[in-house]
Order: sequence, then C-alpha cells, then structure tokens
Amino acid sequence: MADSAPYAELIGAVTIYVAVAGTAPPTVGQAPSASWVLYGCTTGDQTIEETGPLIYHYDNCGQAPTKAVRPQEDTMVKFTIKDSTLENLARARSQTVGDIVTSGTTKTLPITKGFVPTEYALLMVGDADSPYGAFPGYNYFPRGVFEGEITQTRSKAARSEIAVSYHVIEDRTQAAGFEQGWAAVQTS
Amino acid sequence: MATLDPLEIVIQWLRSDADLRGLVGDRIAVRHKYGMPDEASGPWPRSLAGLTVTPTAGATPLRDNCRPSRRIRVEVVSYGPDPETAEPPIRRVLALADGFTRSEVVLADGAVGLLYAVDPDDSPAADREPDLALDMLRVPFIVQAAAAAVA
Repeated sequence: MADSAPYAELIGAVTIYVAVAGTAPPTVGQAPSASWVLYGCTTGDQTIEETGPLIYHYDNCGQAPTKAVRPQEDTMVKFTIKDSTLENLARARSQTVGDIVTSGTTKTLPITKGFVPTEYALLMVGDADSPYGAFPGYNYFPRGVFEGEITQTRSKAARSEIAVSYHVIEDRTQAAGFEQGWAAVQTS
Repeated sequence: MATLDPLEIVIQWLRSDADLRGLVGDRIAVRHKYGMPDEASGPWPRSLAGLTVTPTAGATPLRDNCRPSRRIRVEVVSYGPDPETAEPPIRRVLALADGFTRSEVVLADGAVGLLYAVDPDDSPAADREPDLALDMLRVPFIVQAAAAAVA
C-alpha cells in the first residue's frame, strides 16, 4: 500500500462556476464571491484536456532526438449541462445573459454568436478535491471562451443537454507561468 | 497495515447519519433479524423499518497493481410492515448518495476509513417477503473505499 496514498485518488464531480474574464478566484476552501455564477448541475464526466504535441529535432550523428520543444499548448474544459435555460445556453455559446431579450412573459435568445466571443473565467471547485487529505481544492482559468459548437437533441424520452467546451486563452495580466490558470489545493 | 472492508465502511457510514438512525435505529446490518423466535423482545420487531446492506455481484474490480482501494457492489434493502414504512429509509439512503463527496468514516474499532464513492446502480425495486409479511425496497449501489485506514 505504501506506493499509494488514499487521498491521492480523486473521485467525484466538482462544482463549476463562471464569471467575467479576469475575476479573481476565491481563497481555497472559501465560497466563491458573488461575482461567480453557479453554472448549473452537470451530467457525466467533467474533463480538463491539455494538448500541445512536442516537436523533436534529430541530427545525422545518432538515432534518437537531441532536442524537444513545445511550440504551442491548449487547455480545454469539457462538461455537459443538464438545464437548458437560455442563460446556460448563452454562456455555452460565449454570448452573455445580456443577449437575452425579456419582454413581458417571454425571453428570447438569438442564435447568432457574432465574430468575437465573450470571454469568461471558469472555476471548478471541490469540497474534497485535494490529493493531500480531506480538504478542498479548485482549478481556475482566468480567461477563455466557450466554443459554442452545440448540438441539442430533442427526443421522446431523452433529455436535451448542452455539451459545453471551454477553451483557455492566455491572461497576460496574471503572473508569468500562470497565464492559463492553475490548480490550488489545501494540504493541511 | 490491516486492510479495511468496504462493506463495513459503508455500513458505518450509514449508521453515522442521524436522520437514517431516526428511521431505522440500530437496525442496519448485513443480515436482518426479523422473525427470530423471541421477536417481541428481539432486536428487529416486525412493526419497525430496518435496513440491510449485502454484497452482490456486478462491480468490475479495480485493476490497480497495488490495490489501494476496493470497489464492491452492495444491495441496500429497506424492510417494513407496509410500503409506507419501508420507503423512507431507502429514500434517505438515495438522498445521502446524491451529491456524495469523498468522506471519512470512523469505524467501530476507531480506525478511519475513506469512502470514495456511493453511486446508485439501478432504480429501486419493490418486493415482498411472504413468510415474514414484510415489504422490501431494494437498490444496488457501487461503493468504493480505500483499503488502508487514513487515521
């Protein structure tokens, strides 16, 4: 057993919040400020996907590469939202809730997303999301866009859900190395 | 270090919930004790609700080479003299499983187990035990717990 610590196994879903791009994250273990909006109940897996293939350089003197570089990297967050409210739909398209027109008893949301997507900050918080003990933790992304390529399916006995994908953009107002966001967990 | 039994951890976890104890008292065990000869004075009177947690097939074992945690499938069965009595305990267990996050569970010997997941694996099934004239509601759960004590 010594080669594995029980708390290092992270199991369980987290809670997802959105806010205006650049909104600061809460202190670990404290509730997010009123600037953060709870992005509804999710269903299925919540994934953070990091990509950025390495390019290897070779020379004529040997078989194996002599240098590796990573010219670019991407971070994507993917999850599926259960509630098809127009507010959730607007965020998933990187529109804003301000795009919803309320008139009397109706709400209207246009489909056109426009050329420049609205940027959001994203926060994934877990009460028991620390690999070092029964402590909280979070993943924070200061700036990104929701890609908005959504397929909504209505059917006789299945729920229409919104599959959300959030693509991180560098926030160069953050400290060097932290432009794409970070994970923070409590350790004791 | 001694290996903890995930079944014991999940039973202790259920016993630690005050609302569930309010419904079934101490009657949470692997086997029920209804219909014992001295039932009137026995621990599980047929007029009261009780809960059993029994191992059952269906969970794919974890393939970690060091086996730091165990995954089992258990069937939680709620008993009562009528459906109205049998239903609240299983509802409470389902409510506890909703939004469950990793939890520490203090066991009878003082060791602390770590429960990773308690997830319903089927919809509730109603049944009736004809010999004891008891109504039953059963729900299987997938349970995962750490093999080693965390404290």
